[in-house]
Amino acid sequence: MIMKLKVPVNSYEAAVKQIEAGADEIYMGLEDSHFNRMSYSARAQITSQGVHSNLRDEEFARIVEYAHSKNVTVDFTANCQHVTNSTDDFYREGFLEYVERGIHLGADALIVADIGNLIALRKRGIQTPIIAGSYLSGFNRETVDFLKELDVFRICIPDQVTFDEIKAIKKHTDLEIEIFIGYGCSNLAGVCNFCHNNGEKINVGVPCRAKFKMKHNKIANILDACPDCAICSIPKLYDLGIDSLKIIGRETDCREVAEITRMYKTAIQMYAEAGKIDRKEIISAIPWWENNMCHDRCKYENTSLLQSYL
Amino acid sequence: MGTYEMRIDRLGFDIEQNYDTIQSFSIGHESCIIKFFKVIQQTDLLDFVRRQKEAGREIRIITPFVPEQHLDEMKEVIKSICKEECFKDSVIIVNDFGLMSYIHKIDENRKMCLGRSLLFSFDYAPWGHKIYENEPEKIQKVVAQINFYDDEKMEFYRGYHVSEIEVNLTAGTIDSLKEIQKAGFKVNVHKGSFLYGTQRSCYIRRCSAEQNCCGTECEYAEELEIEEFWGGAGYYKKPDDIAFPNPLYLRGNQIYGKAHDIPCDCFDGIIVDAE
Repeated sequence: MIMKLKVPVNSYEAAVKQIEAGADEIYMGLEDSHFNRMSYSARAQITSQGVHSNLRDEEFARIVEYAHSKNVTVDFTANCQHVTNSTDDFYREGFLEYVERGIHLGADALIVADIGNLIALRKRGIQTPIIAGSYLSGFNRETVDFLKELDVFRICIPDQVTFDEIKAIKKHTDLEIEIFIGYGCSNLAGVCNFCHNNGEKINVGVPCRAKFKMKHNKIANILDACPDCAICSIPKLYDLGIDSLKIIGRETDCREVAEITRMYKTAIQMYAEAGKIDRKEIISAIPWWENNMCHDRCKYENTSLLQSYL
Repeated sequence: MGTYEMRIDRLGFDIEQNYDTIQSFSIGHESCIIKFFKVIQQTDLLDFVRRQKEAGREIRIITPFVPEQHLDEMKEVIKSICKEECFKDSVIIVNDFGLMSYIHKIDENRKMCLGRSLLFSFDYAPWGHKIYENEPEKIQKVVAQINFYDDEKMEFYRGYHVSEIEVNLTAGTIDSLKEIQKAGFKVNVHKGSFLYGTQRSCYIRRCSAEQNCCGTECEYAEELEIEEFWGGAGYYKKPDDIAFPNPLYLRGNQIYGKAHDIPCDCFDGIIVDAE
């Protein structure tokens, strides 16, 4: 089975571009009338840059129809971490209705990132397959087994897991394994309170990539430990049988994300057909990639960043 | 009035000092597995906690998230800790779902406390209020609550013998924490620090390729002050209307600031650092 490429979608135009670029799976969320800017997915309905990350029902349904006509599956983002008790349980009820809307509109699987929500969905009788989101911190085999007991069929492994660790997890479990290949996070998923793109109107950018003044007035982006690229690792990920490679960016311009999708698709196809990849040729498709995303930002190669991992 | 709990998470912890105001000690580490292994196996620290236990103080174990490459070793260490007389009735503070599940499998009556790495509230963001201020009032209330305040989760965690949580304290989470207490869980608040993030990468190791994790350089915090934010288009000056923790501290793989100045006497435990 060929390794799938899973990409974000925030409009019909984005869906068409992404699928043309080679997406095998897309993921997206819905707007919800409970909120003005926030949402039941892990991205705001409207970001500080004015980007609509989630979709209205009609556009969502249109995308599902188009995606299915191209044999592309649709994952539904129900990955908020903040469902808590509320008067008459309106908030959890709103979450469950949000999920039911997504299923009714044709979603094939759900991305869930909160244990309470995993339990509530099954109690409600919803049988749609569930992917455990990266906020559920599947760092090790024990956590993967723990999440399996909660009836998920796939685990999205967090950013900061090495290739050898993924290999150990993959060997251990029969669950599907999804990993990140694009822009990464410095902080562990679920243990980062520098929230961005969650509904704020202010522009905090990506705080872990900011510059800080340190001792002796030295200025550096000292928190930046983002692994951003997995191009060179495509052959070994393919051979390992990883089920899905995930690119993030529901808040990003779809043309930019589509370029990244196309680049990774080229790498996967090149390896599937020729048994090797031409890194230089692949990354030349995006002029800014080499300087910004390569070198010490490899996700799954033995760079100094990975050597600093505990 | 809550009891005072002190963290023993440094190799240089002062075992000679007078700790008369402290009722419990938690030994281990909240975010670094390597430091955890070193601290929990350091003889003088273990002797210290044994003496404290004999003096009637509570001894707890604080554990970090567990990267896969350390899982087998962690399981062995935990197994042996659970058998130690000194830790026989110790609550284990967990910051990893897999470890929580494993501990429950090997020692089903072991009481556990959910660490702050496993808990979330939008109020924890330095600009949390800016995230939810545009929402209807009833939504604001819900998203500012701590996500443990959820009947589904509380019932689920009870099944794992989780009887306590430990949290960063913010104004917006207080009411939900009191409800959690009413539901029968102990709530322990951090008075010494406010955790903003944990990394897999240790900055000491990142800055020095020769770093061998001797466990001492990372005992000191690097003080940081925001200079410029970063967006896709490059760096820009921090807008005045954005509150950013100042100073921010970086110690090992942990990013934290000062705890909010909020009275915490109504909570069950008050966690203080050794510095």
